[in-house]
Amino acid sequence: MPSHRKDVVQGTLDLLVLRIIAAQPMHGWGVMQRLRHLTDDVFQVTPGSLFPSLRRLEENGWASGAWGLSENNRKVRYYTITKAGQKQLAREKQNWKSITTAVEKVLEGA
Amino acid sequence: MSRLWFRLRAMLRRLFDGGAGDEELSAEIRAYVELDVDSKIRSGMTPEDARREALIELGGAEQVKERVRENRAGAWCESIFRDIRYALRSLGQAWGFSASVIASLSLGLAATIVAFAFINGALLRPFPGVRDQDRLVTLGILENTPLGPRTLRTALADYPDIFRALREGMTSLEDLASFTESKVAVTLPEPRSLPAAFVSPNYFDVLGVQPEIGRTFAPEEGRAESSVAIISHALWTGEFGRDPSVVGRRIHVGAQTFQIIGVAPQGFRGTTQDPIETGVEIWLPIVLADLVGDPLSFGRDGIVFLDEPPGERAIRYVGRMRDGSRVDRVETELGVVAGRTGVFRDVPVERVAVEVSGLSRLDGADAVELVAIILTVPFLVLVIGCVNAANLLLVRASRRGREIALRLALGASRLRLVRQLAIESLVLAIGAALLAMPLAWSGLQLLATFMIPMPLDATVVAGALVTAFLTALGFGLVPAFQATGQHPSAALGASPAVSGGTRSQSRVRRALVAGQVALSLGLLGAGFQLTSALESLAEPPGTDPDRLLLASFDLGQLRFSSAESDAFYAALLDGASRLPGVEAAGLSSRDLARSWSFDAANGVVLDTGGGPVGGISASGSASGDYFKVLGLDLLEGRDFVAADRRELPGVAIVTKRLASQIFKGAALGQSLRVSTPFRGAVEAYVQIVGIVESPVGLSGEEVAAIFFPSPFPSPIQNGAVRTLHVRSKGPAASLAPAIRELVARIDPQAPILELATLDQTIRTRFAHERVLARAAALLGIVALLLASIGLYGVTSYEVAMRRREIAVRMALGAQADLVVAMVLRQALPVAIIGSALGGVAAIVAELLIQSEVFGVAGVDVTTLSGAAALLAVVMLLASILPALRAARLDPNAVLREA
Repeated sequence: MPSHRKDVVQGTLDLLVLRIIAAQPMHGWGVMQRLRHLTDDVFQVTPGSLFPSLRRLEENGWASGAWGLSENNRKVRYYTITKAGQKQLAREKQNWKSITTAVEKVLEGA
Repeated sequence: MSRLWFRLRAMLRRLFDGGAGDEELSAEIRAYVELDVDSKIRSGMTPEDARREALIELGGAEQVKERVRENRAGAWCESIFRDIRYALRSLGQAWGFSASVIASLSLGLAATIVAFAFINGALLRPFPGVRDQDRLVTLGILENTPLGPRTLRTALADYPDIFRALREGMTSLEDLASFTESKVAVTLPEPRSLPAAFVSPNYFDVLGVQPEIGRTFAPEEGRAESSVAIISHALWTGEFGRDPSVVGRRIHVGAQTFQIIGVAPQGFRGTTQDPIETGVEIWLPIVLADLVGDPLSFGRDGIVFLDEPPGERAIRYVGRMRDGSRVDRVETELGVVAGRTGVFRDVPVERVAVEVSGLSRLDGADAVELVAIILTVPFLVLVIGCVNAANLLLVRASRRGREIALRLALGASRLRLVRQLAIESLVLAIGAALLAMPLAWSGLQLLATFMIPMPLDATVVAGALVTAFLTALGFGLVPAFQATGQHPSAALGASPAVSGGTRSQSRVRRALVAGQVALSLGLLGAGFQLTSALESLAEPPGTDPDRLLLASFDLGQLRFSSAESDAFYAALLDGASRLPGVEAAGLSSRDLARSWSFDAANGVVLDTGGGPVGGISASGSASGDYFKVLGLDLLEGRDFVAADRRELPGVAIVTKRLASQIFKGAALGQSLRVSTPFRGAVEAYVQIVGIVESPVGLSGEEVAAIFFPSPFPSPIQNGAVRTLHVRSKGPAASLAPAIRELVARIDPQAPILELATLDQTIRTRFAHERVLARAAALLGIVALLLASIGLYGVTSYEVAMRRREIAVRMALGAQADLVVAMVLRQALPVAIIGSALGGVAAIVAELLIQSEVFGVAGVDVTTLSGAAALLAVVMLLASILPALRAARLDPNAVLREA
């Protein structure tokens, strides 16, 4: 894997995926494309990380999966955020913000 | 909370959806790839390139799926599930192997479970029916004797004062109860001798035991002589068919009539229950102990002195502690109170000790000893089984060497493979445990008839499962690590001979088998020895035990005067001699079924004028055709006649052995002074009027004994205790009803304590020992089978390892018999070394057992060599089968392999 592309730590990946499907229901490939697009290709996520992440969200009750048709008529599995997922997203967002603020403070203040 | 629920639901759904979720994931990944391909084509790639690129980026659908599996809820659980399924499948294919391992383990496990059940029943289970047992304490007032501490003896006349003083003085106790145990003669209406407890009226209240029906003792039933009794649930069930109207019914106990006032709850048999006895059957007021209790039962600490003062009893105390009291505080208080109240009387104070402990079935030291004794043999068998299983697993691993190497080469981690092999072992161990449970259960059914209840309850089952688990670790881990320790390239490339393990590993394997052989021969020898020793106990030489009927009486329990006793026995002897089918009948104060040497009540001291000779000699009364019944011929002089019978004997008959010991054979007409060794000795001068053949004792020795025309008066046993010996023309058992009828005709109240043929009597008396000895012998045979399976396994393994070598030899012209000899040369030394060690072990065990049980040591060569021969045959079979298989190898086929 090229060195300028960052691996995404597991918990963060779940947060990002949750955020992406919060905007609109999406299938696995779409989540991947969206993630690349949004991070300008900095975050390179392999299917080996993506699918476990999607399953985790589903098993925790934060996303629900259902089969549907893609734009080009392929049978794909769409993931939709649930109510619990929205709460979790808000919580994690808050959490993330407080961490980054704290880290930033340290970095700037030092 | 809801998150946990979601995860749990997801996990359960997956466990039971039968792979549908897996299917769905595959479809999703396929769809992902298609979308990726579509997008790549749109961006200008050729369809072939796009697909190739997409698949490379995916990195393998299986790997993605594996990642998903690893990450989801309960992943570990699922993968273990998969391992178990895999283990079941692969063990199912190798069913012969699985069956051998399970059989090896289950026998040892079953024996261990039985031992657990016994320990649980004997030590761990609280006394049934007792409330808050943890607050109950036993208070021991002990006298230190040269033989160890024993419960202080108390005359019943002194007891009320002592009890009142203790009860009032012990402020750390809520209440205190007392009891003493002995045997009583109960007429139900069949007269029977039952273990009884004489208790203070508050006994049941202190223990918190509620009657099944009826009531317990009232306070006034401790003061006056109240003829009331409480019977055990077992007696109620066995003798009264659980009839509720038993309350209020009258029964004879000794010479008294008692009214049954209640039935104890099921399982309650007193609080001093010996693990191998059935326990108390009837509870009576303590004030009646002297009136109906057998004066010979001194309690259960087993130390009875020949100078035991008559009429004193071991009275025990049990108390319920107040809230917040501690055992050590109760003990301190007991020391003070007992000293103040003069419980010790004339016993020097430095010889007295008090001891308080929580009420339990056995105290600590005894418990540890019992556990050690009970568990040793089953554990040994289990260990042998484990060694076996380990050897079999090694054999299997050698056969699967290539499969394991292949999986290692394909990237399976070693830990993963070890886990899987360990799970295989666990599945085998659990299989063995499942098989062992019913085995153990049926073993327990056999033991249940004469032992304490030993339920297979949750504790025992849990113990069994833990043992099975540890067993699996014990026999599974070493082979698992060894099997996966190889380098894949070596195992895949090399011939099986190389992958079969090093020389030292094979040495370890053979040492293990030799150890197994030694252990099993030791067990087998000891078991056989014990069994044959007990068989010889059960068959007194010189008599036909099934043609000898014994009926024992203790008319003292009926408060007969000695004149009344004599009249009863005269009528009994006369009546018995006239019964049809009777060849001869005799009476004696001795009971033939008891050993000649250990009968304290019939011991006398002899004196020829120059002081006592020969220590304490066996004695007994002999009237009627006693010697004829025993098959002892009169060698010199005459038998007793009616005129010889007096209060103190004037004449005596001695056995040939005694005659030669004391008088160098010339005994006839000599005089002797005879006295009892007890306090308050009685003495008499007798002239020897006859010499009889010596009976043969336990260890085959000739017995020295002296006989008197009527019972020699002894302070601890008057003439009321006698046994009728009847020799019949046919089987003696058929005479029993006639004897019963005869006794009932002479005195309908007189209880027959025991009525059985000599055969039956001895069999019942040694029932425990016989079962244990048979169990030991059986376990020895099991161990032998296991050891032979072990030898078979190792030999097969080595043959398998040397297939190519053997094939080369055969191709070069080696004959089949040479091959067989070669294999045997390797296998037999293991058996021979093991047998030699085992022989030594067996001899040591024998000597230990004999000196422990019989007081004499000697090696029974016949049984030992029998065991060794059996071992040799089985071992030869176990090694010759693989040898023959090796000789049948087709060199062409083998050399073309691999």
